[in-house]
Amino acid sequence: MDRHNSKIRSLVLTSVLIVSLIVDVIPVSAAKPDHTLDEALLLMVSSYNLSFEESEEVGGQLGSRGLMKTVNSAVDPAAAPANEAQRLLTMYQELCADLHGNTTADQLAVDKCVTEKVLTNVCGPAIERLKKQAEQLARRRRRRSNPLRRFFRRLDPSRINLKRFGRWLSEEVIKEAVVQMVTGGAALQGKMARRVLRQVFWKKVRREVRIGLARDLVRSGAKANVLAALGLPEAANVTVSRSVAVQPVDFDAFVRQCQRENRQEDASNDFNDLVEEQPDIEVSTESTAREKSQKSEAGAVVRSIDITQCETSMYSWDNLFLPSEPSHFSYHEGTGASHVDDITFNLGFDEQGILAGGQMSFHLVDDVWTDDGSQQLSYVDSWVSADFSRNPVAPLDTDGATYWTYQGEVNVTFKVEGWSQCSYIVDPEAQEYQFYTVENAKEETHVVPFELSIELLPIGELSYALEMMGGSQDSDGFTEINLFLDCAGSVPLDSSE
Amino acid sequence: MQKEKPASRRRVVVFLVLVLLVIAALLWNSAYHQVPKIFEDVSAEDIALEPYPLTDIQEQTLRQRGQPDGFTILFYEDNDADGELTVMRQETWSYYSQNVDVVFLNGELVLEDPMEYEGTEVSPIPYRPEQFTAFMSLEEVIAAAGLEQYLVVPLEDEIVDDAEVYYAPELTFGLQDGELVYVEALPVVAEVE
Repeated sequence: MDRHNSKIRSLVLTSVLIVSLIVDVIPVSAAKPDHTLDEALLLMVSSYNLSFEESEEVGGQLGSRGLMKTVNSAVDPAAAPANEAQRLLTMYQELCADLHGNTTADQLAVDKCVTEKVLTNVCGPAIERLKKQAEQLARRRRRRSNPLRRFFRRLDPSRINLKRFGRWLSEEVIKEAVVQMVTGGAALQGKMARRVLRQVFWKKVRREVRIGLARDLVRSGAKANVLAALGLPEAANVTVSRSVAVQPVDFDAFVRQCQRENRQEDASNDFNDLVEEQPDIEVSTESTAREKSQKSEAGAVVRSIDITQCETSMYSWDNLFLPSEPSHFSYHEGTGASHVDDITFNLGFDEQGILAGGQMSFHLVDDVWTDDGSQQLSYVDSWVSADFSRNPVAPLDTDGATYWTYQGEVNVTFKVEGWSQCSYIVDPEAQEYQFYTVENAKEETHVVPFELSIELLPIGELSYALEMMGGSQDSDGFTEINLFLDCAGSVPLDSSE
Repeated sequence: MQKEKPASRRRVVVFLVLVLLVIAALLWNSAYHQVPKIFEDVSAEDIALEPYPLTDIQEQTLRQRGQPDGFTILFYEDNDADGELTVMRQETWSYYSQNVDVVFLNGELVLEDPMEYEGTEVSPIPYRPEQFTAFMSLEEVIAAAGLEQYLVVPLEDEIVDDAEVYYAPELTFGLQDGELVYVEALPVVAEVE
């Protein structure tokens, strides 16, 4: 007996231990709310729908006739002209469209982009949720409106009381309607008066939706300036919490993404402008045409690599802003250093391994000092962006599963601005120099050869190496822009999917 | 043998009638729950209720503006940063005489929204926002508001599952799973010709 008891005791203890271990191991998940804002709003919408909204549809004066129809619809929902979820959905859609509209006013491109992304993240799920609900409700009401159901509903004893319900509602609740009727002035009569009524009631719901959206925006990471730009209540006044209903979003990630997109869009627009002006710049060969058709057969880009830094890299960069006048000048030789930051690659590949899209961009600062380090001679800020989507490239060498190399040409846009310090020889005999600074800014697009190799490593990583070399020379033979980039590194395989 | 036949037939008929009656009763019961009903001469139960404690800013609003002419309160739950559920109280106090709606979220002032009202003077409502707390039962609402009559309209499950909308004198409210999630006090003015 004792042995039996000890067995039970050990079993119980083991179970308790396992359960406590599981409880410890399982991540704490957000609890599901029993009552959501949407449900509270739907109750509010339903109460308006039942008591006031339909009375307008009847066309008569506000009174028992309209309300009788209202209650009639409550008994027979198929007779109701509107669907509550549909009404709330329309409200969300209108409000979200309005808020999207607000983003266009006096906002920087990046701010606008961030606001729209956050807004889309908030509005999208809410609209989808209500759309589904509205469809379900409509389907159910269609099902309930068949002749057999209508016949049985006519036998419903509660219909006897319809008149009474209407009168009761009219006497006790519709008084609010009177308040709203006079909102537009006592002169408003008939249809016009009821229209005012409708606006005022729906305005109330709309405001509740607005506050809900503001909270959702805050939950998604929107800052006070974003809410202010949208004309929503300020973030400080809205309780900040993360909801399971709305996917939390890293606001800073949106900012980074928008900054990246903005740069790429700028480069792309500039490139397109150049191509329109100088069509002969576009590289078009038989091979690229063939590869383009391969791309269209293969369909959309199915795999992409996102790289935000080169683990090892080499850069060579020369920018000389040499003026043509005065003719006697000298340029002080010095030591230079290049600093690359904000480097991003996003390369897209289709199912056949064709490099079918993507962009590369980085920012480079180049400064040159005199040999003894006493004086800075030049400073150059450069933004480089390449668009791989214009010339799809098939893999040159591949084992089909783990290794690919690509060789091709890519259009690279260089934006450069900076200054150089030069000296003008005033008197060669006396070796008198006059120093001056030349500022310059330019933008050029060049076709630059590149070589890319990608390898899937057995350790679950993907290694990459990208080499680009190109630039321009002016008529004097001076190198104006010359880029040599050798970027290599690896990323975990998950992030390349 | 022949004599037994009518008796067994009778038993079958009685059984069938009973089955039909049970089905009819069930259908009737189901239908009864789904139709609007008026309840009159309701007597409020003796329930001890804790009023909602107004925040400093709400007290200040009351001092500055007085009791609201009407109000709407929505109750719902939301997750905080730790994933814990928090009760939210989203309320709008309407001041028709001052042309402003004041919105609070959990007692914190969210916005003051201007409104356009040019009507006649609004009669004071017999209700106060603090009388209503989140997720009250119907009995608690009746006791808190001192209701003597109300109309209940059950909603379809596809709108909100297990929910009803209630209409009482100058008051509408909604219960979900028997818990108060929406309440609106409606002000009254003299009728306009």
